[in-house]
Amino acid sequence: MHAEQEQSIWNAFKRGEWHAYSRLYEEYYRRLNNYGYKFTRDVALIEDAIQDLFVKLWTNRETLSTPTSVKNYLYKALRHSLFRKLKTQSKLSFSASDDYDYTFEVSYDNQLILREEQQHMQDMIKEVVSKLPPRQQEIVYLRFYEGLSYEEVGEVMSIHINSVYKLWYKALDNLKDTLHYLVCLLWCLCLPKPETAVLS
Amino acid sequence: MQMKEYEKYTLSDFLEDDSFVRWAINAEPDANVFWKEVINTYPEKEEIMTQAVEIITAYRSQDSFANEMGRQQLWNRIQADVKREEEPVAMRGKSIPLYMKVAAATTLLVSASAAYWFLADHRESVHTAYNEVTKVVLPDHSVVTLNGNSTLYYNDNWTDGTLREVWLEGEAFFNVKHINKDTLNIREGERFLVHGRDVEIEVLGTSFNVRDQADKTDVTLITGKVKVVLASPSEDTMTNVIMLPGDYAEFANQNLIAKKKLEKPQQSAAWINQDFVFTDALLKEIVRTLVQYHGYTVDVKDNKLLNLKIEGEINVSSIPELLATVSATLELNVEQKSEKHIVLSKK
Repeated sequence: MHAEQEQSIWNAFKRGEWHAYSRLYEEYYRRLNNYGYKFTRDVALIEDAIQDLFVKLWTNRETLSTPTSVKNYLYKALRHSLFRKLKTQSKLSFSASDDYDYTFEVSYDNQLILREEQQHMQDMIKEVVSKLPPRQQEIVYLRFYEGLSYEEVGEVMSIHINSVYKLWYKALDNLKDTLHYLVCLLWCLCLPKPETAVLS
Repeated sequence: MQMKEYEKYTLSDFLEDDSFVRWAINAEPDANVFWKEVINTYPEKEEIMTQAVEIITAYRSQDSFANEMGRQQLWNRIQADVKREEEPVAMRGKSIPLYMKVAAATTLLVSASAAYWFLADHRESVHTAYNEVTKVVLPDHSVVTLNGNSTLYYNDNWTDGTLREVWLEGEAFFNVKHINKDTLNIREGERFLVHGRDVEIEVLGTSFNVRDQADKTDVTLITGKVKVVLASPSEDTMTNVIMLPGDYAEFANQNLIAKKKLEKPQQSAAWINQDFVFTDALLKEIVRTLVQYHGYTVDVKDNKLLNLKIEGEINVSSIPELLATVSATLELNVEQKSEKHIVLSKK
């Protein structure tokens, strides 16, 4: 959705126009589910969080401000709503340590048919990224998957932009060795291969 | 971004670059031209740019969880919840500010129309975010300009015969359409009422500014004539204050607390153009504007500073300019803690 269109839908929603509200749901339902799924595999819990988020949105519509990005605003709200639910749940079962107060996990698409080298690269990235602490994984996700800027990442995760940079460099540092290897790998890939050229 | 910065870019530099990442994930098709040019200028960079794109693409080959099965059911649950929340609200009038109800209880006339307002489902409200200035055209084509963080409530079904009335929280500039020509004989449909926390203002085709603050409400009249009705809740008496062009008056708790003549009354509405205009202002008035309409947090090291006065006129068009003026004339340090958080201290 264009930023302008997004803003006008948001403003109509704030004026109490129901169709604009349901449009927001239609538009963001899928993305919110996808983002929520990275934190938990408990689908019912994700649905509860989305429900809470949307009900609150409608009840408070008159006092809400107009965010620069509706998507980021909803991501932030979902995160907040989901974490509160996860917290009450973990109190009942087990208490997580402070460093790992949440998990973040992406699953990779195995349906895609990849070139052997691409498959290799995906495996490598999968392995390295999954070893990063949850916060760093989330930043990699928000940047490479959602395309957010550092500033927006800070907004969604409710952390200062300096912390975003710090976490990002840590993540990149962790990825460095692999990156180095990948560069060599890619180097080979990028070299012209006469035999394939002949075949194709 | 200057093109020449890319000359020294390494693979991780590209992965760190916001605009490059956005382009790599196809979020910015418009950027194609730009990146083509980067490649043309630095052909030796094409290779690592390709590598960076490949890495991002490999990371992005993820499963996405759509939960399409749950979509309709969850929407039904949300609708049911919203309905449950809305029904008691309509009966209790939760979204209606308390002072409206007080106003309704104090005079018979207002209570009759307010009751109508509660019952009829024609409520309209416009709320502005911090920093946002919005024009509202009322059903009679009167124009209300709302300052940031302000709310205007009104009925959207005015007809020729009905009293025109609005409720205001915050600050607004009114340009009321003049219907009546004979000020001695005003019919119901020609009246225009603005309900504020502290006052009720009756208008006859006029332009004026109303600012409703935590402890008082002030009114500046620019053209025409208004009658401010002060109803004392304890007694059944009403006091009227008639205002003429150039009059500025402050009200609190249904009392007139200050009145003066302004040389340039139109300055009170400078905020419409997002200008900041102050005459002989105390620092606390400037701070209040920043906090109330622009969402700032202002910490002042020593409360005495708030009573410092800036003699003469300030007329600037942005917050940074305003802060620079304050800092220079009052010799204050302005420390920017974050985008909207400042600390003021003596130099």
